[in-house]
Amino acid sequence: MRDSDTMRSFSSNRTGQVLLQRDGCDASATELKQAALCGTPSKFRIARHIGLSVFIIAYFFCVSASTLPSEKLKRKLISPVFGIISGLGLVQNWKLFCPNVRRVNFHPAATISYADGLQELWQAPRFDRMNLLEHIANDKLRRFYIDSLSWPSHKEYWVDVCRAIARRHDDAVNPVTSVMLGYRWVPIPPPSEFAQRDKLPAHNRFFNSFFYCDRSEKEQ
Amino acid sequence: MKILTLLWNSWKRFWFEPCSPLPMAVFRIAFGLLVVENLLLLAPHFLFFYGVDGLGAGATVSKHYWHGRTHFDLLALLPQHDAFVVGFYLVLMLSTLALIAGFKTRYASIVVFLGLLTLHSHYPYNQNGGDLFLRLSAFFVMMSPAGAMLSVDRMICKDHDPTPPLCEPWAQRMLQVQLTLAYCVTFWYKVTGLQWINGIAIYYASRLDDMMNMPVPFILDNLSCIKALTWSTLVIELLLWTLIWVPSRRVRYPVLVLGVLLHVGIDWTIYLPVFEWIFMAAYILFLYPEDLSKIVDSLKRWVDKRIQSSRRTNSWLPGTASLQQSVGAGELNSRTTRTW
Repeated sequence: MRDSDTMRSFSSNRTGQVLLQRDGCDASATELKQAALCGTPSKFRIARHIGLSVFIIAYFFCVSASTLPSEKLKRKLISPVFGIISGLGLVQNWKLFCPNVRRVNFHPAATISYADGLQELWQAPRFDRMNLLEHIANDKLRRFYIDSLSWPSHKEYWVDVCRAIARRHDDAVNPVTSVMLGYRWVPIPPPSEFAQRDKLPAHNRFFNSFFYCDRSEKEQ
Repeated sequence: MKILTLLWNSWKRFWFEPCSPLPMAVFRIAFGLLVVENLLLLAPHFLFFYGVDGLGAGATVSKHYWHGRTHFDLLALLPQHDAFVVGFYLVLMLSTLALIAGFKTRYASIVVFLGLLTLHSHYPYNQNGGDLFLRLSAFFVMMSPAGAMLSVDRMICKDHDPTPPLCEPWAQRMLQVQLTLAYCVTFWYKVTGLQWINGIAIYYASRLDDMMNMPVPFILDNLSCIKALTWSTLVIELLLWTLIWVPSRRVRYPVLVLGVLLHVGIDWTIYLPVFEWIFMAAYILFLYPEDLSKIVDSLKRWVDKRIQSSRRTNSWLPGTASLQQSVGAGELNSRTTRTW
């Protein structure tokens, strides 16, 4: 229903009510309101309500199933319609800080190797060192580098990131030969070794997660 | 049979009994403002993520995220040139502004939904729960009579009726249920985590250095306070999908206030733009239209007052030029005094 239709139909509310009373209909206030609102015969209205009810039930069944922790059960329940709900962006995951909060601080980093043997360290933006304005400007990068890129569940994307880093640092005279992607990290001290918020340890450990080597360069 | 009829009538009353679309209209404005904020946050890196040479390598996303499933991606349909990517951004921004103003609301909301869906489909790795709730909100705003009040559409409607309209609230109800479903799911996930049960989850959450926002003296540096905050988070989240449905204002409104305190507290401590605010904006849908109308009216009165006072100031300003041309400085001074 268009917005203007909604308004127009309500303007006939009182008129509709009078007409129904004249005809001697025993209609409740809700029905009168609905008759006025929809301006459609009651058969169509009922069909519309049934249709919408089916949509509402189907929607909440699918999204509730998509939030289930068991992948097996999830697949069993909604596999026939999963394509539709994921295509419409309705698959849900409300797991922020659940079931446990991560216990490490880290930032992605990479070691870039050049043809002459030179090595260079690349680091993702240091969100821990940013002020509020820089945080605001770089929030989407944080989501990418910290919440997505570093986790093994997104490992398929590491090749693209390594390529992007290599492209950015490539030099015609001294080309990039390999990129070692990883992250610098440090565990957050447990509550038994209580750490103040402004005195957290620096990211002083290095973990390599992926090695990318340009084969075409090697073959040449 | 009687039970079925009773159930059907209750169902109909909940989803379809006409009521004021004011909550949805106010939510539309709040939602639109948050979409604008989200787009502005995305602006500095838009081409980095979505540009032709950006990270959003369509093949990788399609293969590994979508696993070849059908998904809606307007950017994939556009010619592969950054100018079109920028054009897409501008169209999405303009549609959002139209949605806020309530101009061609239905069309604007459809474009906003498809735009947000494209941002997710084309590059899902920079999205979080805030983006998800924005997208879901867009889905329901698109289907609701959100432009029936507080909108340009209503102002320019030819057969404008001064009586506030009534509409079926099923889309608003769906969004309400959706919000409580999110709290329900997150609550159950949390209670399965030892950190939440032991009361130390907020200790770790407040020490994630990449998300640290404002300093919080004492409270977050004291373990007893941290435990109290962790457990109170669980209690508030429990209330937000249970007692929030109690129709009594005495129960529902304090729950909403607790929800606002929770989200403002998180927003102050942890940098999660949009996420906390879209949830708080959705609380508008739980306000009774008559209460919301009082708030909107007092806001209107305040805005009117400001406009009147600025008009008075402005009426003095153009008058200054004409007065300066026609009369002497002495008369100008006396006029100025009178205006003020």
